[in-house]
Amino acid sequence: MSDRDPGGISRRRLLGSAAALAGAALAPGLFLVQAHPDGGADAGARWGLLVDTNRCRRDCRACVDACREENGWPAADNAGGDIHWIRKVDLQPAEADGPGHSAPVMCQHCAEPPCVSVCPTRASFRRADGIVLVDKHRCIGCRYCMVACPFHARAFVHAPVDERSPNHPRGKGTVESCTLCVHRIDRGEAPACVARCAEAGHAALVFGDLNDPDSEIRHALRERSAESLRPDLALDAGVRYHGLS
Amino acid sequence: MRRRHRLAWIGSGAALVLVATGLALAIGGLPGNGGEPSALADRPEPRGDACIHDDAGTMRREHIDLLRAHKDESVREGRRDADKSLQGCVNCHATPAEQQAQGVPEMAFCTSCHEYTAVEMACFQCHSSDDTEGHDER
Repeated sequence: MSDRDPGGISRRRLLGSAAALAGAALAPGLFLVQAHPDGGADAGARWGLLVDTNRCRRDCRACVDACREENGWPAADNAGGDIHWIRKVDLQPAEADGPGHSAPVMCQHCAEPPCVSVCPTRASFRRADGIVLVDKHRCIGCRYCMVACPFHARAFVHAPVDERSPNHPRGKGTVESCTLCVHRIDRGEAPACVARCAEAGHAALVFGDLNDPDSEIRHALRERSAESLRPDLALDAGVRYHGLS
Repeated sequence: MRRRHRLAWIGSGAALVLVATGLALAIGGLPGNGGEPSALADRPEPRGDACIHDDAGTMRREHIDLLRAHKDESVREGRRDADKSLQGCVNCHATPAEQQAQGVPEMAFCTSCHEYTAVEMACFQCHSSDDTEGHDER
């Protein structure tokens, strides 16, 4: 059976020339990959944190306080429920007389985030630069994401909260978690916890682009071994911990 | 004969409707083109030189669609534009402090119209209505 039509143009040649035209249209501006010519989340970046548990002081809560001030979440006895974006966790020493560790735990900004997989409204989403966020205009407050998150990183706002930060709108009936201070990142600044930790003189938190081999976090990761929390889950977390093992 | 009668009736009816519409337009002007209802007259004057859209009528009709589109762009894609943000609206349209001291509500610019049209406005249940000129977000 011939694939030639009466006009003499083969179907294969026709398809081939169509593909060539499509390629030409794509090539000059690379429309499909250049998503945000006017800025926006950089799809080539992956923002991450390195927590050095050897430098993190057990009695220091500077990162928690900084986060609360920056994002306006109320203290633990608030009416809105136990809203927390970041919490300090004391780690038991592996050996009886070994040094104990302390570390902040927040949204781990996974590359394979379970909260995003389970969200029925696509309110939980992963931005192009790897930051996992909640779109509160879509969130229906079902809290599936809170169940799915193995790090207990998300919180539900049970009641109206008087404190409202311009940096982060907060409403009853929605879920929220660490945004990695996305508003600061978009301004070119490091998250508030990282800045405050450095101000406090501990420098236990290192922030940067995991995809950039010259970034501060990549340099730190080359010098210090680091692992994710619950590496068995293979979520490829953006937050890494040094000194856990 | 009966058919001609019926046509005449229909024709005169249509003419009457046209005349009535013309009269109504002549007296009341085009819809949306007339003076503002008195309930809206005392809302605070916005600050700043210009809104993100020149035409006030367009802003009245489409501000929520513009805000929603901006929310998707800024939250989901990270393309921020301070002027188009809700905080940008607040920075120009919040009631000035001296008028607030006289008892004018903080967001009277919004609420005067929303109350008149009976459209519930829930933005500031979650968003801060503080004037944050200089470091505006969202």
